[in-house]
Amino acid sequence: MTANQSRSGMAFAALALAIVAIVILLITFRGLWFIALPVALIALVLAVLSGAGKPKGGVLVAGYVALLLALIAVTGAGLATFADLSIGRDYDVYEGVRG
Amino acid sequence: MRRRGVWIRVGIVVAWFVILGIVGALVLSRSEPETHARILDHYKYGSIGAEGRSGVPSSLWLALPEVFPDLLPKGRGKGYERVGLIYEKGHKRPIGTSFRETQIGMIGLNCAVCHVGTLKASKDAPRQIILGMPANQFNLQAYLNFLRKVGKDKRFTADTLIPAMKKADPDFSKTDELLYRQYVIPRTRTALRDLDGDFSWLDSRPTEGPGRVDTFNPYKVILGIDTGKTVGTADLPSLWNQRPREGLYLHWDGNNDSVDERNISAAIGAGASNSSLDRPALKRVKDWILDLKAPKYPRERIDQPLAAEGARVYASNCARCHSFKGKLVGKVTPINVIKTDRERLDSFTKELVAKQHEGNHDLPKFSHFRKTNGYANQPLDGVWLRAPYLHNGSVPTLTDLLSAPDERPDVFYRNVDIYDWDRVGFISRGTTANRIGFKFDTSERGNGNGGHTYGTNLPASEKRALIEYMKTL
Repeated sequence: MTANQSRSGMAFAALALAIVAIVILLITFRGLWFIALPVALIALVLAVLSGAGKPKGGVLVAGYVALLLALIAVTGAGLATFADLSIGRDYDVYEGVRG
Repeated sequence: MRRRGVWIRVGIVVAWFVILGIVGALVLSRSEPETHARILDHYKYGSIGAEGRSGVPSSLWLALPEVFPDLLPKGRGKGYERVGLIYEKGHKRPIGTSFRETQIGMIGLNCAVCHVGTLKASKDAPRQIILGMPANQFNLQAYLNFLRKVGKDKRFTADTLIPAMKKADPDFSKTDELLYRQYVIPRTRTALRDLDGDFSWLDSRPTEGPGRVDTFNPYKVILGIDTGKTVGTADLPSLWNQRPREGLYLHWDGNNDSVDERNISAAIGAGASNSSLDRPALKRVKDWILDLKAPKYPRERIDQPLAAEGARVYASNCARCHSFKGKLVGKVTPINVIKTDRERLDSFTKELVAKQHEGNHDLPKFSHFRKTNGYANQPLDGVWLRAPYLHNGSVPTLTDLLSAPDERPDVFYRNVDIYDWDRVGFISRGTTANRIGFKFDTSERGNGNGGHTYGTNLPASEKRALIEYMKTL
């Protein structure tokens, strides 16, 4: 695998993971933050690393879009984490009462 | 050069979080208390900082009585009127509640909730709202119990509450909905469950009823002291004439001689903490109540010659302990002398004093509290509006107070604001009282009506004269 192929893979993987994190947040909001947060962080790291070398064309665009979406996902997941931890464990995401 | 692209992206990430941090700090630091230029309005509706520790999100607070009317006590009025809160025309919130503009807006309590009372000259007369008077109609325990029950209710969900909030507030936006659904409602529910735990000790005490409060057992909970079985329920006091009270021993058991500390302690009781307390706002109230006068008893209802005769009886029998210039006013009469119910006295302990003077748990560091061995002799300004009498409100009228303890009513009704011009106090018996009042049983712990037998042996004519004079205080 060449360096260019590796960067391309990182950029598109970052894009995919960022979208997955945002979808998880939109569907479950704070309910699955413990999945959304690490996924969003991995997307962010990959989006940053995909900037090594001189990416061009679609890879460059994918990398920056992934970076933007990953930042949104990390922020959302961070807020969801804060919310969930401060709400307490006796209240689930579906607004039901446990026990 | 090969890593330049990475550093640019790292820069973007850092810039994102810096901007986010600044915006977040600006949003979260938004805290604008409701203030009023007129001190009367500030007293009734202004903030003293209680929203910071014990506030309830505004839209939610307004909607709760609509969603949970069955959890409010039965009685007069609707919504929060059922716990004795007083509404004025043109106001969305009752007297004694305050608002703080934050990212969601919080409602808390202020001084007026416990120190604004009502009076009706007769059953059909208009209700008068009297500032500084003990809140004879406000049932703090019922209010707390309502919130406790709400927090445990299975209907406390976003799907149930949000439609009610939208109905109550036409400005309730989609963003509000998202925020309330995902954070505010569940967070409030957790807080209400914590409140339920903090006040679970109330369930093992006799019902306090309107116009009364256990001031110091909640302190013990905050400070991690076991409440044991103590019953500290006492009547709400008036707030008039605080200037001449400077230096007198305050609270029913005379445990503090600083008006400032008493005020701060009461603000903590209203829900503030050391960090949330709005000291300038509280000072405005303090300065105003220094010289706030009690309303006068209707002049046409006073037999002036008889009152003049009563002044002499008062001077020789009561003034030493109860006149502002009396030698013993504001001093503590030992419990073995005064012999009134001792539960309130025993509920305030040396351990509590020590902890109050440490200033931990986000409470102010007090320095004037002390443990006493009796009850303080109170000045009697506006005494006609301070019924029922004794520290625990166990004697309904002045006429009853001047009767021997075994002739005082064992059971009577509180929470009636119709005045009893004959016995001097509020209507406490009869069909109306029976229908709308709270049944007060003096055999319950903390409710004893014995002791303070001063004046009970006076001839009937002197008692009548004394009561006539006391109307003028």
